[in-house]
Amino acid sequence: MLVDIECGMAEVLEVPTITLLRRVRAGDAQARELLMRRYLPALRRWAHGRMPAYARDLDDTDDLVQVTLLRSLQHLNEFEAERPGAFLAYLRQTLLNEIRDQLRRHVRRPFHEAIDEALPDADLPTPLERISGSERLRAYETALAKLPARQQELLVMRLEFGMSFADIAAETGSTQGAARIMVWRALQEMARSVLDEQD
Amino acid sequence: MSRTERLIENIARAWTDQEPVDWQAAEREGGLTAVQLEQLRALDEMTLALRRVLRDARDNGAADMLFRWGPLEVRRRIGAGVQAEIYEAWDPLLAQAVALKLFRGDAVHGSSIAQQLREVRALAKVRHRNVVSVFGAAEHDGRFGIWTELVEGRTLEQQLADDGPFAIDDALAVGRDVLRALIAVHAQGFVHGDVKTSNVLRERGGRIVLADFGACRLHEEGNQLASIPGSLHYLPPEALRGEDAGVGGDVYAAAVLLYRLLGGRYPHAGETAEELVRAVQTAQPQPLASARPDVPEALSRLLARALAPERSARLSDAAQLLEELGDLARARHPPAQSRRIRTALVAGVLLAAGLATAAWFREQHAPSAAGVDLAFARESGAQLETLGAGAVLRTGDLLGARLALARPAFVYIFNEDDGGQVSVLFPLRGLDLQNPLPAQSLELPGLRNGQPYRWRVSSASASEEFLVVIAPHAVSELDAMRERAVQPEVLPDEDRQRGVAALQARALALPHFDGRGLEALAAELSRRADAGDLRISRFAFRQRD
Repeated sequence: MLVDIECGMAEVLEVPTITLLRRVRAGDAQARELLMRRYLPALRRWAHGRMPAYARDLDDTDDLVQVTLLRSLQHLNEFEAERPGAFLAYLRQTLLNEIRDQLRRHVRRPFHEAIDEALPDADLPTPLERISGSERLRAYETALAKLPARQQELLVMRLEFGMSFADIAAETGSTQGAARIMVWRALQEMARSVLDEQD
Repeated sequence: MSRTERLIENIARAWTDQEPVDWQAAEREGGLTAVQLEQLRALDEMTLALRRVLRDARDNGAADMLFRWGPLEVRRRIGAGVQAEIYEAWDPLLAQAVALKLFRGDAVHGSSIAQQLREVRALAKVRHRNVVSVFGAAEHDGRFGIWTELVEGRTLEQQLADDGPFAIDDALAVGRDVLRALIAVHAQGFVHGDVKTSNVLRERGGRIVLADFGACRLHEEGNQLASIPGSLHYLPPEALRGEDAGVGGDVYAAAVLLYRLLGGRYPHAGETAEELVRAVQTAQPQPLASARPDVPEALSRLLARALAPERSARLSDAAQLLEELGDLARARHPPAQSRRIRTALVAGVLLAAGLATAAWFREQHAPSAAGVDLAFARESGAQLETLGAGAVLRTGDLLGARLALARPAFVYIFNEDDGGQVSVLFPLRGLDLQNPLPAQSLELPGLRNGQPYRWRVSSASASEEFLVVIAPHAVSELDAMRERAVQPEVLPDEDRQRGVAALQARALALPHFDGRGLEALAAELSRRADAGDLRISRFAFRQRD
């Protein structure tokens, strides 16, 4: 149908995240909505690979992601970094913690529920674990955690959210070329970190 | 730089650009132990796994959902206005993408939501190829929304901005389609209320679609509007005074739209809203010729009349403006002479003979009237095309029937739409063909002043049913019904040359068939003592695709 574009996607894409974050802190509801729109699809895709099998129903994933994002935006004071590009990594970590929490709660289920055949085993791997193997995933996360925060953010954007260099440049306030070089350096750093582990 | 460093750089570059790592080359290069290589391979596999799950999530599709609203998965915002936002959404029940107009929280409240729901549900009954199909309306999460078919294309406003003013023939065709849409909307008792270039889309493939029924309301005489809907430039003077312009407001807006398509500007100018309102209320529109010298004088005059400040000076309804535009279009490209149409019809009857027993009509009773061939046909340019199996009717279509009789007969034709409205289509007062009809090839409903007339499909309906009764003698009940019935209005031809005149069929009240319709009438006729003499045929056509 129709279409009377007065403030369409252009606004969603053009206002820098850091500006929107400041507006959300000042109580701007529209900025909160724009941030939701900006991050929700990417976080959903990301969460799809990280959710355990029992909770991978689309609705569960959507609910968890939406609630986590909403909560993060309501408690923005806990997010201190003003550096462009940090917010996505912060959201990713918050969501990861939330998923781990859910997993722990599931493991603590009473016995009579655990033997219910309709409830899948909490130990079943996530799609990401199934493809990569739990050990590799742990090694990757350990190596990632050793990197400086800036490099972690860059690798999360490139590797985990599949962002293009143009998107990373927009998110970090740099150029595409610079974004590519920064990602490359971060990956070299990660490789060295893995090798150092062996020494 | 050490070999190890060089290797790390190369491997990291491959990861950066999402290219495969050349592990054989890495092994040949040396500088890393087998264990170290294995660690980097593990990291390589990890990057591949991360990409793989992202791809799976993308393929899954639903991960792109912005949010859920009621039954719909909302995926992408495609526009926004003051009162509402427009999203592309997925309707899992219909298994298709839809457009969702979601009103802002404070735009629609309480009783107003109930009213909107009632009206949109009724509006969903409007089925016309030039009207966006409304699928539903509801309130979820405190927000009222309407979802409709998703039309892929550009608005006329976008087209105007991209390509400039329209070619005259194109503008006339677009204007006529918009008016056909309005006729369908008005026939259901609605006023669109916001006809403008940004609410009309040209779908890929050329179909013109009237959209955005956010301002649409049931038309009731004597309404006083609390607020003025629509865009200022498209409002007639009475609406600017806060009065309800009714369907006339839509016709006025359609004329503004056409003026804008042709001239690239609005009919009235004003530096401020006050100036504009004053100009609309007191002045004639700026001459179209000053913006577009090649516009025919007759078209300029017609638009000036349609945009006159005095309501009484304007055209009465969308059908009248459509007729006038049709005349102008035909004058630019004159159709074949009437004689040639007649020739084509005769040929058509011969072709149609083989269709008489086709499955697309249900022959209820056809024993003795052998030698009758009957087919409905639709005017298409200068030709009549036979309506065959699966034919779809559209509001505004001009229909006729081809009939070849082997012997004189009395013919009665009735029509019923899916709302149960019955109209009498033949015989009609004022036309040359009256019962009994002679034994020859005929085109119904007949001629007036030498001009062939057609039935115009004047209201949108999911289906149209026709009942044709052919009898060797007069059927008194049917004649009595015809006498009681309101006859279709024969539109005045005012001595102008017309290729085809049209009949606006009005609803026919059938007190003793109330609620039962043509099926009951056919059943009753088939129980008559002389049923063996009657040929009773029922034709059913779908309306719109």
